[in-house]
Amino acid sequence: MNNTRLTLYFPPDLTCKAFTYDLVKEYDWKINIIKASISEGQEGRLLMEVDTSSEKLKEGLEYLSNSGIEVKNLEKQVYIDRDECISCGACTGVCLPGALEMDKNTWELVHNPEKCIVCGLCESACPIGIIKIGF
Amino acid sequence: MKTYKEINEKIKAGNAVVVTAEEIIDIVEKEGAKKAAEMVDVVTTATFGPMCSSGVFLNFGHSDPPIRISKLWLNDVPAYAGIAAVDAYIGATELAENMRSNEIYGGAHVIEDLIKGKEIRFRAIGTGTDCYPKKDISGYINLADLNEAFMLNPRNAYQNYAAAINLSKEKKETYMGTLLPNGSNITYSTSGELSPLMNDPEFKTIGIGTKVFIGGAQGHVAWNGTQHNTLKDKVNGVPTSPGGTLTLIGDLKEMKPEFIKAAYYKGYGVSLFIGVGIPIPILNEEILLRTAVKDEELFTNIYDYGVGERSRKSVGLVSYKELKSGFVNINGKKIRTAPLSSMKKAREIANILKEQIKSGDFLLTEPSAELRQNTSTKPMKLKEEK
Repeated sequence: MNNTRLTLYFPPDLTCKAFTYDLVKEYDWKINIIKASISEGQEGRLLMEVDTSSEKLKEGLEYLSNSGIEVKNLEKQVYIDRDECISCGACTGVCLPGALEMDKNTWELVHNPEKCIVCGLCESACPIGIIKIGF
Repeated sequence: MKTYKEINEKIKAGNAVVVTAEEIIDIVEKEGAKKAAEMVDVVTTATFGPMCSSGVFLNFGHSDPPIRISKLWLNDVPAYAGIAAVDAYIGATELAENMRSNEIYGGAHVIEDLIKGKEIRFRAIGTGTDCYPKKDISGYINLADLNEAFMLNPRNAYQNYAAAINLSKEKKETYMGTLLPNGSNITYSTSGELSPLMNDPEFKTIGIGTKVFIGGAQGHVAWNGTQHNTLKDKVNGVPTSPGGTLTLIGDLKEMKPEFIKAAYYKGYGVSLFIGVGIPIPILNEEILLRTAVKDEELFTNIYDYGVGERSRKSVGLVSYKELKSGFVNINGKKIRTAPLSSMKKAREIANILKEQIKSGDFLLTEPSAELRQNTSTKPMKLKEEK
């Protein structure tokens, strides 16, 4: 089994179709929807955690790709400019899932993208403005 | 017993034993205080945190015809020009005028840009006098063009600081960072056992004139800082809430961008991260023992920032060992903690200062006067308008 976090980008003309239903019924994706943002006439976005076999994951991703839906891994959703980061730790205070933590030995910022729910709190908590959210 | 002179002789000869305030802890545990005090000459301390009460004095040189500046803007940030003709002070927290909605820019950013050598838009007006006929002037300047640019920070290097929690039902955006509702997180802002004034809590060696590392330059303690308070409750001889403070001075032209960083706290405003390092000469065993203080012996109060009043309630006293562990237990609830000052940068500064002293590039200065003692901070006392 496979636990993967993905963001799906729906073009405006596809936001009304029930792709999630197909993914559950036809591809056996066990889906936990973390965040969704779809407004009529605009691109829709859906952040989900998927639990399924590697094979079914691949098939489902092919189905989405053939349908014109772009899929990105979560790692690409939070961008931290590590060259500019001073490891102050302010972002870790708002990251309750623990995607951003301080290494207790080096006191450097540690980023665990697999725990991220793209809530966006870190972006506004960063005092030097070097965290950008792509969701 | 050692003297400043003896320690400086050893530094000049390249024989001084210098360690950081973290390293001294193990040395004292292994060797005992008496032997460690003989062995070690200097302990370096450091902090790298947001320090709002900071700014820079500037002198631009005279234009021809000359102007007596009454109002001044640097990259649209107002600077105080109510001193002689071409002198000014730019404060870190001042905000730019006419900022676009998503733009954040303030005095701290001007200071950082000056250090980076960037060109700054200069715009000034004056009243026009017989001796200073010019009434307005504008153009671009950079740090190298200025006669003087020295940082003079009225309150830096706080000796301890309160930790923050928010027990209200709404999220609070504060200078202590984003505080989530219902006491969901705690923030704190000192480097604990590495922090300068935690390692010399009675100011036995840190006084007026003490040479310090500030923003990458060699500067000095100019005075006690504003709100300097020596009468706070103490545990293990160290205040458990904001105590002593320092006014620091240093040449901006010698500072480095990696040790001065503009900051913006959403909902609060602009601040400035400043890297400060202070060497403590081990003159005797008593001074040494203070520098061996550990995070588990240093405490601070956690205050409820959900209350917008001066007199906030303490939710509890907690050690820096607990705060730095990442979680604190309050009334049976495990609450996430986060620092706001960078331990990583503080360590870097303590080590740079150590190397500078070992290589003879940084000599110690004996204070010319002690910092004010037996002093506390008064609240604002406004008389009613008549």
